[in-house]
Amino acid sequence: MVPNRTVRVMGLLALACVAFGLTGCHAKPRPAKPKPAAKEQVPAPPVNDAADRSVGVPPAVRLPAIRSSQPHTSREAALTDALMVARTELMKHLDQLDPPIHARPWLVKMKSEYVKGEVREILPTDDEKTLIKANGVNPNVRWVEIDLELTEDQVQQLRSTERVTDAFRGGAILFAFLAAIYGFLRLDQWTKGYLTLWLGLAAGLAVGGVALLVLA
Amino acid sequence: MRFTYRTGERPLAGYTVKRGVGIGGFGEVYFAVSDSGKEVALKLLRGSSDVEMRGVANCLNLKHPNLVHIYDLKEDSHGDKWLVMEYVLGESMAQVIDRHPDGLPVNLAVEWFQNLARAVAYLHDHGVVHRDLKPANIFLEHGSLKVGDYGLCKAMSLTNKAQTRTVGTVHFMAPEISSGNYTKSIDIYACGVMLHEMLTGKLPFDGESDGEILMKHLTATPDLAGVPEPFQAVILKALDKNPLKRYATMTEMAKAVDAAYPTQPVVPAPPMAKPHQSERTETPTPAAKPTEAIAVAVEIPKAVPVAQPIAPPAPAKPIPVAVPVRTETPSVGSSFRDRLTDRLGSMLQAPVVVAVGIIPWMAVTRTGEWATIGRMALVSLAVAWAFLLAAGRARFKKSDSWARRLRFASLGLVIGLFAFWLEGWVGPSLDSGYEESPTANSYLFGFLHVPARSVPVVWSYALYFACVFGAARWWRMAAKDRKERFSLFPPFVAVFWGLVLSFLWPWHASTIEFGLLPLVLGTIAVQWVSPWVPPPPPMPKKLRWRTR
Repeated sequence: MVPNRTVRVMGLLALACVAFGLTGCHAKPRPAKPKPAAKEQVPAPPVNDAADRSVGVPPAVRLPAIRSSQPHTSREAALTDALMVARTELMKHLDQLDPPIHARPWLVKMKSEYVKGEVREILPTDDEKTLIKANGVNPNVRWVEIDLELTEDQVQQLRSTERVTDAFRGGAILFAFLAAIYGFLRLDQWTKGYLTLWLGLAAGLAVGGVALLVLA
Repeated sequence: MRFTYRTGERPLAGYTVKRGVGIGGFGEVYFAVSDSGKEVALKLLRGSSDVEMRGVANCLNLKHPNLVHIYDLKEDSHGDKWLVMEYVLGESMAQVIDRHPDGLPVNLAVEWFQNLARAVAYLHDHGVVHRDLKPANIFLEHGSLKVGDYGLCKAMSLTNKAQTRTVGTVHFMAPEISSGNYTKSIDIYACGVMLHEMLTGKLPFDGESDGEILMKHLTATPDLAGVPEPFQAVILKALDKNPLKRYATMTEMAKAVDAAYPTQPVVPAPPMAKPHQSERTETPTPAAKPTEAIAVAVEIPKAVPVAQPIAPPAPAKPIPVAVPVRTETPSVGSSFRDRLTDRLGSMLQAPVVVAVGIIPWMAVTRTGEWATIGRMALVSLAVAWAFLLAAGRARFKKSDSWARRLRFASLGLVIGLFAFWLEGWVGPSLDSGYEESPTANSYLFGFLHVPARSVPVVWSYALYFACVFGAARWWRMAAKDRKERFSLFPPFVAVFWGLVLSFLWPWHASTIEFGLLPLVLGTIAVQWVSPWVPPPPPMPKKLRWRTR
């Protein structure tokens, strides 16, 4: 005779397999509808084959030819300036995604992972040099121009970071809430109800304080 | 549980409510303090008939050391009746039995039964039939047993299921109650059921529904497996279907129990004697026994003069050393409030265990990225909390059911979706519009918009965790009657099922450690933080032989 537990486990596994098999049936692509109006150019997400995501897939975000906001005497300073400009542009772009990402990437990470291709130095023309010199500034300056590209995985990682942060915030509030209830119950038991009102107030204030602290 | 009155309110002149204690079949019970500082229990009696009120009034002047004292019966300005009672600071016998699923030590069970028998016999002598005797109505305060809720019973009938449920005594209901026959034999029957439960930790008649239990009371033979042989005849007679064949009086039953397991006679204390130290029976106690582990059977205060010793003095026999039983541990209670406190305490400790458990993983994999560490911690914590919540009040051995497995699987599904969300995937959203790329978007059930690349992943996550949660008996880790506080078996089971179900895991998206480690950490955390009651120490050889 088959034990009851084995039957349950096998039943669950069978359900899992059936449900997994049905996923293909549920995911039916709809025919495309004509685009209603010109939307802001959002790069199309790549095809769903995960193996192809890393190589030969169009980037999820592409910000070409971002130039430093002003000329700098050193290449490093110009590059940093360009990265800051790129970050501002990238944040705007991420904010327009669906769902939006409110991330502020680190410059180091942008420099090492998001900048694609060469960093191009752009020297001022003779006319510009004259103009700069006329303003009493060292004419030996340059701009830097970079191309920024984020793959689907990198965008997902940014989204993951944001969600983990949000989850920790929510978790902190939930933890404070549970701790307040627990403390209230324990202390109320110890004080046999003599201080119920005050303990309730203290617990409420504690939760409110933590929520303010976390959300601020 | 919602109480009518809150802390600080004075529903009854002269008494201030401090907090609600419980809600039972008869109404609400509050802990209150009188204006002069006397701590009392106030019981709000609602919907009671005049006949029932007269029954309560008849009990006002009953005095017995094993009865919860009733001070007064009052009426408030709304016309509601209030019973002012002694406030018993202790746990109920039900809670103690709950902590000892294999039964209480025999000598302790007998000692308590004799106290119970005295109280019930006293009630019967004064013309009161309790009608609702059950462990939940018996309280233990400083080792002293007190019977409560006497004189409060409403008419119970088989046709009135709601009433029966609120009274909650189907397990202790004598067969003749179905015919409306409320004599003292129903108390004797209930005492027989309680003796069985004290000795074995189990009820003689159990079932899936009230109807099934009642039918067993009417027709089935009690299950005496596990009952020590000397008591089997006693219980069999007390549980006879024919009330006329049961013990005629409570005293007779107490004598039979005493004959089955003779105990040292209780010596009445001299008047005005100091309690406790001078009154303890001089039984040999283990040398290294801690103070709190002194046997309750020995600690029952004998300062209270026992007016009517039921059993005749038995021949002096050495009492076996009582097995220590703690009766005042408030941590593992059966009331909703106690359970909630325990569960919250466990849930609050879980993050600490998870955080400590993640450190070795960080060291081995040299992971320093905030998002990765945070994701691992959050999923592990969610797994631990889900295990704790789904386990509920499960017992180690007999809680396996489809409902419980489905509850676990459902929570696993939620955990899977949470892990999916945390990894930054774009989940389903309600979207009525159509995107321009048919290959990049899918519509589940016609209206739920899902990016095509997310579809297999979301299913994989959800099914993986749902199957792992439903596959094993995880509630055993949180059962307070589990054999060991911590075992390596559940983490191994987690790894096993994780590997077996790995075909569901979205390997392309993450590494295997994100599928296995949260489960392992969850199983460790749950065991670490769940309350555990160690099994009673083995009985001395002599006693073991006697109870066979």
